[in-house]
Amino acid sequence: MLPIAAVARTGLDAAARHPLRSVAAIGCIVAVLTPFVAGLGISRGLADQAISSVALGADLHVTGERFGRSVPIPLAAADLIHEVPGVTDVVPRIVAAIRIGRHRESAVLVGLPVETFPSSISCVEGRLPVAGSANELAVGAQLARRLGISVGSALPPFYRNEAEGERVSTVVGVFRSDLPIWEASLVLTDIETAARIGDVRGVVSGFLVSAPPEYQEAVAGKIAGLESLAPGDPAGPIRARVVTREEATALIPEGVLARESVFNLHFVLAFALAIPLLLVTSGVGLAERRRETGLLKALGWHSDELLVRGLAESALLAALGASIAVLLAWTWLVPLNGWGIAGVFLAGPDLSPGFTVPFRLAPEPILLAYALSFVVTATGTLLSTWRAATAPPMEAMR
Amino acid sequence: MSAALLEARGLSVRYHAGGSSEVRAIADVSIAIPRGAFLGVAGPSGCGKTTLLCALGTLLEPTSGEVLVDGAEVATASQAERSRMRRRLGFAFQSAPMLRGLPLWDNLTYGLVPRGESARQRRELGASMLERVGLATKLSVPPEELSGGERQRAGLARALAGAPDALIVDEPTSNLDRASADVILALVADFHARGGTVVLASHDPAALAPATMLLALEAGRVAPVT
Repeated sequence: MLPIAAVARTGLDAAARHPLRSVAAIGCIVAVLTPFVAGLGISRGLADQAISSVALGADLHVTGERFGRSVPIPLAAADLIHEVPGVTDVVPRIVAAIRIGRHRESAVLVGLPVETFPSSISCVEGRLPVAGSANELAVGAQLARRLGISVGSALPPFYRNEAEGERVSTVVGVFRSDLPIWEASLVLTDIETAARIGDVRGVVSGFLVSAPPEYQEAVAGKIAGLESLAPGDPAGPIRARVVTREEATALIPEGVLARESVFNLHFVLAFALAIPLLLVTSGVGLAERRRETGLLKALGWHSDELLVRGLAESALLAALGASIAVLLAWTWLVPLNGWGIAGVFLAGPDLSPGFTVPFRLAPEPILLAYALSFVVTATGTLLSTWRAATAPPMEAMR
Repeated sequence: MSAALLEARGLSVRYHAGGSSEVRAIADVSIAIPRGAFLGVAGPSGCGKTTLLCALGTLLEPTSGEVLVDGAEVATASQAERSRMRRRLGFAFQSAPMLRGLPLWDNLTYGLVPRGESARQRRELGASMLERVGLATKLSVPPEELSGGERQRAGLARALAGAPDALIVDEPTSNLDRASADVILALVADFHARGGTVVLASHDPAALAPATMLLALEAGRVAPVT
């Protein structure tokens, strides 16, 4: 064995010979890294969901704005958009944020013409609403489970409607989707029902526009250039805001450091605290490390050999700490379904989310976790080793 | 170049220097120890014997004065050069500090790890050294299970394990019965007889008997030998 390898081996032995010190260091790493890995896993999962949603969605999303704020668009604007050369289809859509059930759970009501319901949705129970039916709803499987409802359940009014008085909606289907977030929060209905529920006749939230790929950019420009989506409206023009599929994809932040910047910032601070925490918790081991370093210096060890020894010990503790953290993060995300942490990223769930939390443990955050773990342990170990190694041996041994 | 293997020139060591609790351990000690000599250091407790040995062993930095190892000044040497000097000096501490939890053979030969000795070679060397100090049965025992006397014998075995040019021994017989002390002193005498340089501090007249040079300390200063 090469001398340097033999020296490094003594560092690994040192970790085993000082179980209390090692457990304290690993404990600090695990405490800080586990939520970090779990959090990044959830945010990756959400980003994946967003990308899939965009891929499954329309070529162009058209919404209206007045004074820079979103406003409903008259349904008649569909004809204006259809007249733009290159447009092959225009689907009106109503989207409303609602609160539903005894605990007023957050959900999203989506109203579409029944013939345009997404093909990625399939009923596991009952059926999807049909044209001409009044107040029929299909509910995502996880939302239905959370609310304790099934086919045939009657839902009390969950949206104020002065014109038609109180009405009860009926659940006619429970659906599954490739996207767990849809399952977790979506209530799907016919666009007319959605309009009735919201008491918003003749207007929609926006349009899903189809166009051949080669014309999409030009079509987007033409629609955005329309003078108004509500010609003749005495309140003034409604400008079109057009988002292409590429633009929607670009809005999803990418890269480990660009994403969830607030979350990352908090963890940078947590790591800054973890280093002194590690130094404090290994305080018992610190005196012993110093004595050992002094003794080894007295036996003729060089300072750089002592640092290699400390580096090997740090690497082992860092690898163990990060591995345990990744394992615990997986446990947190799968069996525990992101209990307590999902609420940081998702609106609605408090401590225990009532749906499958999307996650993906990507290689980059895991590698980052190993790197951060190494930085923390190496700072704790090497700093004390270096200070002892550069002092006269008797002083370090005292 | 000086002919002395170890040399102290006007050596002074003060602990907590400049503070209200300043302790003058040794003051203005000069001595040259030629290669192959046996220096006995005598004196009452607290007279500075251990401090002198530590300074000669390059284990502490003197407040003033110089220590030279084979003519090279320690104060101006780099950290790496000092480590190389320490490899040439086997230091047997009175308290025989060891690495907790490590088998005795490993403790004895730990200083040889960076020199590329394999674990098998070190274990064989450790076994042979332990046999010489009468601890052959303690090969795999951790040091915390040894008595004070056994530790002291193991400490001497460790100092000898690196085949040093000089052996610096602090009170080697203080915790030992007569028979064990004789074993230790015989080992030191054997090392000296093979041409090794010895610096030994002790209260024990028997331990100082083979010395070819004697230095008496009193309150940190060189005193006349009586």
